[in-house]
Amino acid sequence: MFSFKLDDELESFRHEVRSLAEKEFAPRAAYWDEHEEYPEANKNLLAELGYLGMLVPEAYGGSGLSLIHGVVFLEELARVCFNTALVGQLYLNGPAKALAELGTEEQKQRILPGVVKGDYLIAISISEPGAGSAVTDLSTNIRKEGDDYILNGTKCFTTAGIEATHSMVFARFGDSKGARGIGAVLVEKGMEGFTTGKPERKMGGCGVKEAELHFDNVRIPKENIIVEATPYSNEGFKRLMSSFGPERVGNAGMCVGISQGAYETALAYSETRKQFGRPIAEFQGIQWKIADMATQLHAARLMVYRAATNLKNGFPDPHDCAMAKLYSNEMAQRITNEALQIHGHYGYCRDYPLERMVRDARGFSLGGGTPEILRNTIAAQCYGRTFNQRRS
Amino acid sequence: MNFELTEEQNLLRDSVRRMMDDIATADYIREHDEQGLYPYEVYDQWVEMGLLGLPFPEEFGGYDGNVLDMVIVGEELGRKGYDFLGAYALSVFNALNILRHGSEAQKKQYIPQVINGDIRMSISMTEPDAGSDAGNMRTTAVREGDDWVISGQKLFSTAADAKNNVINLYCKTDTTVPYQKGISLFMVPYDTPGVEIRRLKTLGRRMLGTNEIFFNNVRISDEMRIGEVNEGWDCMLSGLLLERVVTTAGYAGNAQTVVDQALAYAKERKQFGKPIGNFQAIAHMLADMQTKVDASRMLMLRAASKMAKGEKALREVSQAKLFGSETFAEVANMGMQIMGGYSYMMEFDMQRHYRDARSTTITAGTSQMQRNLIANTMGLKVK
Repeated sequence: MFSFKLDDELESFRHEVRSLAEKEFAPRAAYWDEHEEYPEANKNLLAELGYLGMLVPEAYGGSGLSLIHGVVFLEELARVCFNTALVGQLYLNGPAKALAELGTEEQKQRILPGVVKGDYLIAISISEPGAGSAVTDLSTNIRKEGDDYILNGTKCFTTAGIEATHSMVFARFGDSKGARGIGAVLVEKGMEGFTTGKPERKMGGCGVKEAELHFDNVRIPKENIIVEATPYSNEGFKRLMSSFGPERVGNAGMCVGISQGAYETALAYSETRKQFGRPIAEFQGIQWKIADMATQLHAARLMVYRAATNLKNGFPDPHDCAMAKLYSNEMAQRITNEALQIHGHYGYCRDYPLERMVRDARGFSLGGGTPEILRNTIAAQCYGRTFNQRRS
Repeated sequence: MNFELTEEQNLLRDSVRRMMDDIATADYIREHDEQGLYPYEVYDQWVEMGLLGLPFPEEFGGYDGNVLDMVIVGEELGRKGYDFLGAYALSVFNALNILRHGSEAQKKQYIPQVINGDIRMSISMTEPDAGSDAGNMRTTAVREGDDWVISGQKLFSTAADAKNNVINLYCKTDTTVPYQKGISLFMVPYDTPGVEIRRLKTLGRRMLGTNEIFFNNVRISDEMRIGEVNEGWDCMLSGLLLERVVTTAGYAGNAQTVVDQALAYAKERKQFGKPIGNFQAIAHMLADMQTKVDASRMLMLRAASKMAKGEKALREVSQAKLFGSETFAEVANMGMQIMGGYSYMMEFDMQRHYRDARSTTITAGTSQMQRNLIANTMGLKVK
């Protein structure tokens, strides 16, 4: 029997995170955005309370909680402060999760305890100026030289690439094309030949900036190879991509959270705002907006919880992830925009959180697998075959 | 039905477009948006060209242009960003109110000053508790001898802090009568003692900026009153359709720029070895975008041409405003999607279009108010 409810333990976990988020993170949510500042203090508090390592296996100092805990956690952070949620996502579901899955025993022991304590931050670096959705066009190159490897190339849109102590960089081993030959290495801050460009200012998620990473003959010791690939096989790339399922679920969870925040704000506002002698909640046009928002939110939440709990070998089903992220990304845009509309011109101004939520929510659909790429993935599943995107 | 412009209208369009291309460069717009700077240099060019005089009679130094000329200009200014049209429209619309309701002396004094750029104008109507429900305003002007003393708070007043601005203020002059009665219109220079203007931080439209205005016992002469005492609501309504249709033209202009930029990107940007515009899903998005922008232009032109013939056009204007604003917001959102991660970066223009577009379903009558108006013209009594 499929249960549509979180159990008591998860509900009390939600309650605990919500109290924390409302008390500690809500008051300064606008600050990080306005000042375009990385919420370091929030990260430190989360580390101190043990949340950053909540999904890391106990053997490496974490709590070994399940993916659904991570979703509920990110949902509650995003409900009040997206920038803090974004930091949480980097620690919980992105490269740290991939390293825990794909890394060597030595790498896990060396890196993960630092992640749990918040001393380390691993960024994920995939996109390049010429390889966005077409990730398998990436050209950052790695070649063997003696016992070491030499890395060359340029990455863009690396979230928190400047703050990160480590970056998990997708690179091509040898002279292959397409998915074959793509593996990943761990680049550490301070390695010779590794530089970061100026942080790129963006419309939303302003507290956690994107950066360009440049690799000019960076010498990578073999201990830092996470997934080695050969030019003849796409196995490495497949393993890498499958380990990013949790990131998609986490992304979708943040969408649910920010939408929940926008929805609650609009619901409350419509009860207090009076025009034409009555609260605007009394107008059917507004009531139905609220009804549609609640319905979509409910649907998205069910999809995300399903993706987070339908695990095989600890990882979610890629198609559950694709559908949950696709629907949640677009829902978050709709709901934050409707919430802004309900607020009228107040929603357009910074004194209210809506304009920030709209800007923040717009970014979900532009990274981490765009809705366009997810539709390709879902269509391939529907038809039972993949379609060659390079066909002319 | 004739959709062709006359030769003169084509000339007007081309010259405005050339002028805007020359002065409102991508860097200029980016810098002014980023720093919240009023586009004085562009405005000065309009003055130079005589654009501010377009709808005014020759006797005041104008060119006797009609509503179609106005929407042509609206569209062209909007192409560079909806905020440009805002700057133009505020001065022209408020000065037109003086033409319709002002005394001979006021017309002779203020209209030429607007046309030659000595002053500019803004409007102030909305209050914290009077948004869509504008008649609910509480700011008052009390008669004291030959003067009026104004107190209260206004909100969301665009470009009120631009230099040499004259605020066209709607406020209550008779608080004993309910609602839309008892409202009068006054001109209040922005630097009048007691006027305090505070710029609000907004999602978009940052060049002109929107403001909160506090009137702390502001004393102005009765000569600054436009129209009869307590008949301000009629002043406001008298220009509303023209204002909405020209505003809608600005939406169409800016929305077309969104399509042009997204299309150029889709032709240039290669993924999977080919331009992304060659993918059917992207091509169809662009096809939808252009279709909707054309449809919104057609609705706008239909409304404008009815008005030019002196016919009633409340429904047509409301439909054009509703569809035009929602289309602008929608295509800007699609433009974001087509440009992917780049669109989200502040150094690219698409995020600005998206932020600016987001205001259009809220301002100048929300989409919800337009739907009410349209439904009312259909014989419905919307509550």
